[in-house]
Amino acid sequence: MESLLECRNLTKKYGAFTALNNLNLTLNSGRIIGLLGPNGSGKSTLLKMINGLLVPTHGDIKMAGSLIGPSSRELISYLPERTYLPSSETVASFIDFFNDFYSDFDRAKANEMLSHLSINPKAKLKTLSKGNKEKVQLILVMSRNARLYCLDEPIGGVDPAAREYILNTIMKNYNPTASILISTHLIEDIEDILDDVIFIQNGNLILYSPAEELRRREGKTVDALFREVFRC
Amino acid sequence: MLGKLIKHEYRATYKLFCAIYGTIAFITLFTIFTTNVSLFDNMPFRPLRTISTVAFVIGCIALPIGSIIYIVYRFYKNLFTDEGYLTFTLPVSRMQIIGSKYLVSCSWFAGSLLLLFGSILLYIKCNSGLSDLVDGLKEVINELINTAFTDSTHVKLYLCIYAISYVLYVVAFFYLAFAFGQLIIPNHKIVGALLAYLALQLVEQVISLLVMGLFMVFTSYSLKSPTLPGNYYLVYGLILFAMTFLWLFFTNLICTKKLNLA
Repeated sequence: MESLLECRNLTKKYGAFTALNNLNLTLNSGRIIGLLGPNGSGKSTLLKMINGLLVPTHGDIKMAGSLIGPSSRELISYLPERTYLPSSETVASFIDFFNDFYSDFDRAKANEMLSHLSINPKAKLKTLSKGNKEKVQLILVMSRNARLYCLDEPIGGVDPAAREYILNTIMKNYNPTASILISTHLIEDIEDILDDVIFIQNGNLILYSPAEELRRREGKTVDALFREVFRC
Repeated sequence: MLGKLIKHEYRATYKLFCAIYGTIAFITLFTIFTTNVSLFDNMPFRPLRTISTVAFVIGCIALPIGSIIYIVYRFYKNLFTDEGYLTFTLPVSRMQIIGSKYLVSCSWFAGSLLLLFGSILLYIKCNSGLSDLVDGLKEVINELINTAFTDSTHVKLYLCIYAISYVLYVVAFFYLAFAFGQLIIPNHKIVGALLAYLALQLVEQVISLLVMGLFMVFTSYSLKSPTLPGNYYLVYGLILFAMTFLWLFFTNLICTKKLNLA
């Protein structure tokens, strides 16, 4: 398997607080990886560093052999946990925007998904419900043929039906030779689609294993193991 | 990519600025109309002349101030709030992002100032009552320049260069203040920006003193001299150009090496 992303001695400190502690991680192509951990464990910090939104205190990250920069951002499609699109703009303007900047953006796919959800492209983002805003963001991200998809809590804060839609959208639309890194604490919903599992706690990598091997070795589901490992 | 960034920046801002420019142009023309048409000499139309004149004055003050506030607010919102997740994950360099916003912002700010001066000049030109006052003011300004400068041959040109450099400098100054502000107080970025603004003002004052010092060292100028060297504003303008590049360099450095969109 081809090594896609490499994190070496990755550390992020905010004063005396260590958000990520000397993390060493290699992600391969064609895998769906669950980045699992309790709140405040460092999941979002790692995703932000992969996408160049935070600068590491120590260590580095390489994407397809190059340090994080404009060239790596061409290969990574990122869905943050928050609404990051300007609310006064229309959905159609975001399609144009993504089409302009990302050569791997599939405009027809994006329009098809919007049509399937009955979202009017001329609607301004601020007129949409919270769930639809998140779906628009997801559609934009999954309409790219990226090498790595970073999804930060894509199913948090939405109803079960919307969660199912989001997971189906992810599985139907991602590039199979790419990898998906999904950060979540709702493990039960995504366990079945995961190839690999990462457990992270207090900024430290606790576990990195293929999901099936983990289930066989531990004799329990990943969700059950998570509850056991991260018991309060 | 820089072209695309500039295109989208103009697309996002043109509606507001066109609306503002259109409003100011309308107020100017309407004020000129009410000032020159005798219908507005008497009641019940005279209040319209007063209102339009007041609106014209307020518009002239609000135009440059409002423009720079909107430019700075847009820079802050696009880069240092949740929208930064979109901006900084684009496959472009930080300098391209900053450069595109800077170029578009400077063009709008320059446009606002040109509209401001154009409106005032047009109002004066069309107001016969003010012409004598303006002629008098012109004489006073020429006298001041001849008295204040050792060599006043090219002072007006140098003042124009200084004015252009100051327009470019102001935008870069505010950009650095906000970039620095998010660095020093990440959880209260606007407070941080205010503190950075004050600190940068201090730096600017120190540099002004250094410029004065340079003139004292390299020319015959002395603090006791009643006149400034003729090329003072040319040199200061060129230094402002240099500081503009320096402020943009530091803004880029902060956004590249010290960005913390937590």
